[in-house]
Amino acid sequence: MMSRGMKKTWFAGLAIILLTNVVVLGGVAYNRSGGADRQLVLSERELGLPYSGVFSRENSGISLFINWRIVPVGMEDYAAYNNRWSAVEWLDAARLGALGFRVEGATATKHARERFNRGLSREVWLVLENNGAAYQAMRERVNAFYRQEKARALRNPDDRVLVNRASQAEKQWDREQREASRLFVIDAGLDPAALQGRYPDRNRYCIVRGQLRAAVVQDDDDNWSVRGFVQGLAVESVNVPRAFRHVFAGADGELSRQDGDRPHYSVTLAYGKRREPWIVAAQKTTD
Amino acid sequence: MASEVTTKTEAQTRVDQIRIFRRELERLRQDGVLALDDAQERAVAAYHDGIIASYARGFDIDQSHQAKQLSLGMRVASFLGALALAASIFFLFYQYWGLFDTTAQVLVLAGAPLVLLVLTLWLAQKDDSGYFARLAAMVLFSAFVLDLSMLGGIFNVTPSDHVFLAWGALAFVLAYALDARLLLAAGIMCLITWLSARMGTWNGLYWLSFGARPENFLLAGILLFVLPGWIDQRKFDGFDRIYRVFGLLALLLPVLVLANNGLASYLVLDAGLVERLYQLAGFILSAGVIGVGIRRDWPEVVNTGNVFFVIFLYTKFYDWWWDAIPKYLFFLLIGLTAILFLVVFKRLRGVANRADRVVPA
Repeated sequence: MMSRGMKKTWFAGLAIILLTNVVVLGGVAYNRSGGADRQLVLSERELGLPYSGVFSRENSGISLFINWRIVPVGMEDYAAYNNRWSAVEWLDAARLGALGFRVEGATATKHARERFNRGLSREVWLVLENNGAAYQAMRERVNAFYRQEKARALRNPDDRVLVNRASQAEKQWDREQREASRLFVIDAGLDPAALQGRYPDRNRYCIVRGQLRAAVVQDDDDNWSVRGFVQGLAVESVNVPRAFRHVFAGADGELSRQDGDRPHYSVTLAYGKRREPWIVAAQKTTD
Repeated sequence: MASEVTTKTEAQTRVDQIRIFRRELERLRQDGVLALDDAQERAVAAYHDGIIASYARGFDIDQSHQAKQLSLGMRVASFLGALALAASIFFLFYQYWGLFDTTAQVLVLAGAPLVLLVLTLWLAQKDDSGYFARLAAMVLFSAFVLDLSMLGGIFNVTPSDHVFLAWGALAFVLAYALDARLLLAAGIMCLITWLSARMGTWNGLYWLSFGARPENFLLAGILLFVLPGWIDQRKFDGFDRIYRVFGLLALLLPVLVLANNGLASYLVLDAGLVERLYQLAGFILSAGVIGVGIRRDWPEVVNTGNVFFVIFLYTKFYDWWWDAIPKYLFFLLIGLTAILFLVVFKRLRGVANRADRVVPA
């Protein structure tokens, strides 16, 4: 016969476990209710496989990481394949102020700059664009850099440094065309409904939670300016349901990893009412 | 007899006193100082045996030194067993979860804590010592942590600090039901995390950045330190000490961090000024804590205050002298300071001993 104290414990423990699971699963059901709010078709370029690690052999689950990028400020002289941690072109002081960052006087004194740069990230809503204007702009930038380096090398064929730079630039251009992610963070705001209205194309844009940070940086002309950085998305990876595991297996049937033989695939990623993603379809492709 | 004590520690202390008294009485008899007659010996023995039997039934105390050693071994084994079983459940799930469909994953994740709850309560009724029930409770807590973490991963749920509230709530329920200090500590850490993350969010930060602003922890520290004064913890062995120690850690560690890194503060002041303010606060707080601990007879508070006072002091010494004097002189000064503390404490101990001495009539 259970004592009164034990009965209270039983009910309290049961209530906590059940209530919490109901809340979590209820949230999931709400997110997915009414179908997808936004739906993007992404490839292995935008949804990457995990890397091999100590625990990966003993983890039968698979998550794809969302490989987002940004169009960085400047960098006309150097194009990097994955430059997500650089200052974002469209995040200037005015935009950051509108997003809640206290930018007034941030560049005035050394103390003000130091204090501003210790500021932490804030949660905002981000707009992801798939294979749109931002990716085209990045392609043009990398291509322009490649043509510039190639021309320099042709004018100075004996200069090994320039020849190497041209070779690297060619590889970067090749990667940009074939491997680089086409998913870019292009806007941010505090009101997701307003962003939804501004970006109505449900198959090219999605609105997600993320974090931004602001810092004072020194420009090439030695002036100080306030710039913004994307710190990350709230959900950076997506679980692969069992039904789609076979899409991500290699020729030997083992799950593929980022640092091994990578398959080519197409994944339909849906975002629901709570802006949380899930995979609705996945298939292998040839390229 | 049993009504004068409410916790296992008090009962164990009483039994240890009886054991020591018996040894001392035998010593006095052998030295010819004191000998009880047969009737008195029988009466005292019966009285003490009754107390020991009563406490053994009510509190599962150790009746001998050997039993005490074995109890310590059981506690260590219980702790290691709980950790190992929790890790095993974690890795078991990771090994096979990808092979289940989503419904099966959810059923296993949500069902495991429920099954373990039933097991824990069954063991609590069957096992007088409580070790097996506490072990099961630790595994239950781990299964609940795994439950919510994995559901978040499976359904790509946005991370939230509220999950710490749920974990903490279960840890507190189990801790109080089974008198489990380890679970109380786990619950307190979850509560500190949730409160501090909330403080960060209310100040406009992303909740995961709460650790970057140590002041977020101060409120939790204060609340935990004063809680035993509001809610009586005497029925639960050592709970009040755990609240006070964790409260002090949540209060003094952030002060220590800010005393060395003023830029991490919310205060809109020069970083050097912030560091000096927090250094001063650290000295005053730790000295105050020592004073309160001595007055209220809270040895854990005195010890915690001592540790932080020494850390603040030696950190200051480092700031002043590390670059200014040769290293051998620096460490000589540290050593001399330690000797000074030794002399002061010895004097204080002497005063305490004289105050305690029984003066014969």
